[in-house]
Amino acid sequence: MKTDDPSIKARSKTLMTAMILSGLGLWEILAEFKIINPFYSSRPSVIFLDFYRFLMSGELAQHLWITLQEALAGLFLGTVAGVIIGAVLGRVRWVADIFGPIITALYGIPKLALAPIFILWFGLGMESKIFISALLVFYLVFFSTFEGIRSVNSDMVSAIRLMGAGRFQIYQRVILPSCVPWILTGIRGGIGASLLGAIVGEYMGAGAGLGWMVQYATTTYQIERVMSCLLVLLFMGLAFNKGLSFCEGRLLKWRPDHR
Amino acid sequence: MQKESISVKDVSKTHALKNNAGLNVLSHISLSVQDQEFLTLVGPSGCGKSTLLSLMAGLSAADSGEIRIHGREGRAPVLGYISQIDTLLPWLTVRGNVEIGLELRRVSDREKKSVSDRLIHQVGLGGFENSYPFELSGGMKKRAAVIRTLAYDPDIIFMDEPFVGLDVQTRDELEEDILKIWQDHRKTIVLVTHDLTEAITLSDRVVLLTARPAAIKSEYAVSLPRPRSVAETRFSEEFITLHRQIWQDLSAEVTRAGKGILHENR
Repeated sequence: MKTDDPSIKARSKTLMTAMILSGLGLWEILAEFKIINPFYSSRPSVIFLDFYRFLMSGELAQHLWITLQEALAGLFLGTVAGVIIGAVLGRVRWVADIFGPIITALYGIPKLALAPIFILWFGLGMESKIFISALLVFYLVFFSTFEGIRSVNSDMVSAIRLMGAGRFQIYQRVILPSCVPWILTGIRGGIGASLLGAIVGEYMGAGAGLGWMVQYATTTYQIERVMSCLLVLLFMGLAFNKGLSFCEGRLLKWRPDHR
Repeated sequence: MQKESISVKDVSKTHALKNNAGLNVLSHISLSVQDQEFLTLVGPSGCGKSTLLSLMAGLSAADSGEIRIHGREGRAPVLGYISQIDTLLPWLTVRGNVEIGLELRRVSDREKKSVSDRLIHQVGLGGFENSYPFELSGGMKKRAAVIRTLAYDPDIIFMDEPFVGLDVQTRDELEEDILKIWQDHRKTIVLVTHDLTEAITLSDRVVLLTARPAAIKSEYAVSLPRPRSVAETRFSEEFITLHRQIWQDLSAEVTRAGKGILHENR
């Protein structure tokens, strides 16, 4: 049975929608009969109403924009740093021997636990969130780029060298292109990490953003607002992944599994 | 007198092994390849044919002796090397792969396209210019690899068992292509193969190496007229006589090699 059969795809989509809707219905009913306490977890009808108000008042856009900028900037900077440092360490032995252990040792520190100190260093504005976000993304992209560089097909490299390619050309024509799938894998993990970094940074100290909103709504017992924010974050994550899938489709046309 | 393309003088090579001193692979080999000659090296498995080829291509260095390409020592600046491993770049299309050698030399787009168009059509890959390697059959990939090498016009092409793993029909077709290519481009080609049929069909001269450590056992001039075709040559009187002769010489070496292996294991 082929899984890309359109009728099967449509059927699983219908099934998925049905499951989500019945889950929401069950939640509503359980809340209605006080089997679960809506004070702690709210209920779908109230959440959607709040989401509507949140959206129409323009607050949603305002906070979303801030978090989006932080996460995207973090994703971008973390990816650039991860690719560059991963590529250099993957290729230059002595640099890897010196910096590799240091980077790996620092990786062991729970980076989110350091969020307060980054806020101390970079202030309550967006910079501190971008830094946390970029740091989380960096490690994911760095490790996968490094692995990618180390697993380059050496037969291809020597074939191109025999054709007369210089060091730079070998890098440009063989090594980097063959790392693209690895880098994309790193970025896929980095998407979640960039949002996490931005949100947690906002918990620790901020004046705006979705994370700040979640924090604020929780302390004032507006659970429906917390849930609205989660809904926004959910869509944000989905949109990021969709964007990446689009890039993958264009960049990985040459792989049999990306058709 | 014809121009000499590759000269190998008294070359020996020993592979370093983990346990004992070393494995003597090549012993005092001297060989001369003429310009535009198609020369094939045959010999028992593991005798050092490929080692000799890689020394000529400058991929590794000989322990003693001297190898000159066009009278100069050191690796030829422009050479072609086709091995049995598929080294097409999977992220480039057929056209991209064929043009890569020209791209490394910063040739203009127009010229790249005219060269790749001509070669792609010459080996019947027309219509697959924009396909990626994973979409091609084994034989098509090999064709792409061969014309990728031709595209940047090296004087000498080394082939290390290039058609291993392909089915008989595909091999025949590729041999036909190689004959045609040699006819049109007149390259110096050195081929290593196990397949005597392939060796005789393609070459001007077949050199038989002994069991390890390889030395030159005998040489056979193939005077089948060119242009040749795979089908015609294969059933000609001369082909059959030559085939029998080389086969007998080779099987004597194979037996010797077999005994040698038994000896080493004891």
